[in-house]
Amino acid sequence: MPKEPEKDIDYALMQAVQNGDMVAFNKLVDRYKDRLMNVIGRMLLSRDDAEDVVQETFVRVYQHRQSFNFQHCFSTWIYTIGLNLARNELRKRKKFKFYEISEMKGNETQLAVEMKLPSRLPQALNAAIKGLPEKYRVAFILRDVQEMSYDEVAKVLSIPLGTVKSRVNRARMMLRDKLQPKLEGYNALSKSTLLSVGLLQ
Amino acid sequence: MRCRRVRSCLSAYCNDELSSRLKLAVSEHLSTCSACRREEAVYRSMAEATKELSSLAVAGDFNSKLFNWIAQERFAETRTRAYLPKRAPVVLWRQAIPAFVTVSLVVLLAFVAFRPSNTYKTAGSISPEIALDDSYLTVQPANDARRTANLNKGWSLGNELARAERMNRLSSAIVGQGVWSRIDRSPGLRMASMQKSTAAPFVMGYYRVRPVKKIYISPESPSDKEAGKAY
Repeated sequence: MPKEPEKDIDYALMQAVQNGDMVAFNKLVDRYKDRLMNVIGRMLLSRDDAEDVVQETFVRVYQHRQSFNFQHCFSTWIYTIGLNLARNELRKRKKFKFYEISEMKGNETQLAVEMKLPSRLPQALNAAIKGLPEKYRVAFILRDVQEMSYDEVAKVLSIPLGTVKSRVNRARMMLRDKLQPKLEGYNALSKSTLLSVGLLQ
Repeated sequence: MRCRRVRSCLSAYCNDELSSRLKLAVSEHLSTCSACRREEAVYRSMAEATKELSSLAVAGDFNSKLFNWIAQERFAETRTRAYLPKRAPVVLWRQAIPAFVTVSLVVLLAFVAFRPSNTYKTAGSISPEIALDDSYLTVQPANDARRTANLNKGWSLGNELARAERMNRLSSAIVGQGVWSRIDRSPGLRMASMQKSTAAPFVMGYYRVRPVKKIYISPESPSDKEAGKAY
């Protein structure tokens, strides 16, 4: 799906919000609340804190709606606000908070069954993402989880493009080191299953 | 291509982020290297698992909480606006300078008018013309603070100072005329001769100290009692 129509939709809604249209603001909230929650939730590792930060992000967007520059991308702008607030929250806490996977909405188990993946793999991946250093975790989440382009990630994080690529690559290598034993076991298991089926036939 | 170089590119290869030339080179290496193929399988599984990560969702009442918050912010903002002036007062430099000059003049005049004076007051009156009533002063020799002059009814600082001056002049004259060596040096004259002959001070070895409260009381007359009051 091309990004251009999404950008135009955001601009049209923001124009209406600047004119005082709260219905347009509600639509903007519906478009971005889950995306922001996906990123900020994985950064803060706490559902309640993440919801508070996402709400504060939208409040800030509303308070500064008149100062939005239409030459910039709205998604970049809102992600920047959200990540800055999340970083402030992390600085306030200054500790690593255990992330209760059972509290999060999601159907990792069901999806794993459908895709024939071991049910522990998404959980293992989630746990491994938790263990990443903050700067690599943010870059990985924005690029691989949110599927943003490298340019967008560079604008959101206000770092050079090369730095983004380097951090994403480094994050993937760290995750690979943590998940390799589990993934190799999965691959070996799937191959042995196919072999046994082949023999029966 | 070497395995080390290929493995550094594998994550980008599995996410389709390599250029066509580099992608071809990696593919060629993977066709010949089983170890790198195992690595590729790990990265592909990881990429697949990442895509299957479920997205997090907000609670059902998120929108209502958010709009309540915004409504409170708007209410607080309107209340603040109601009590603030529409325009903040602007102070122009042209208006500030005269005000500053006026305040400075007033402060200066107040300082000049109400500064403490050096003259002492007599009982019941303030008069800058009245000099110090030296009946109530005590004097001490400069080089001996323990000695104090005896005070009696007729004691006067002015008389005492005049006496000291006469002594000083006499000693200067004696020293200047060369008579000094022929005169037996009495203790008083000796003390007087220690002063400089060239510049005899008006007060020879005496200085005035702070007035002492009720240092002179005369029971003989009411006027004396009055005079005996402290400053």
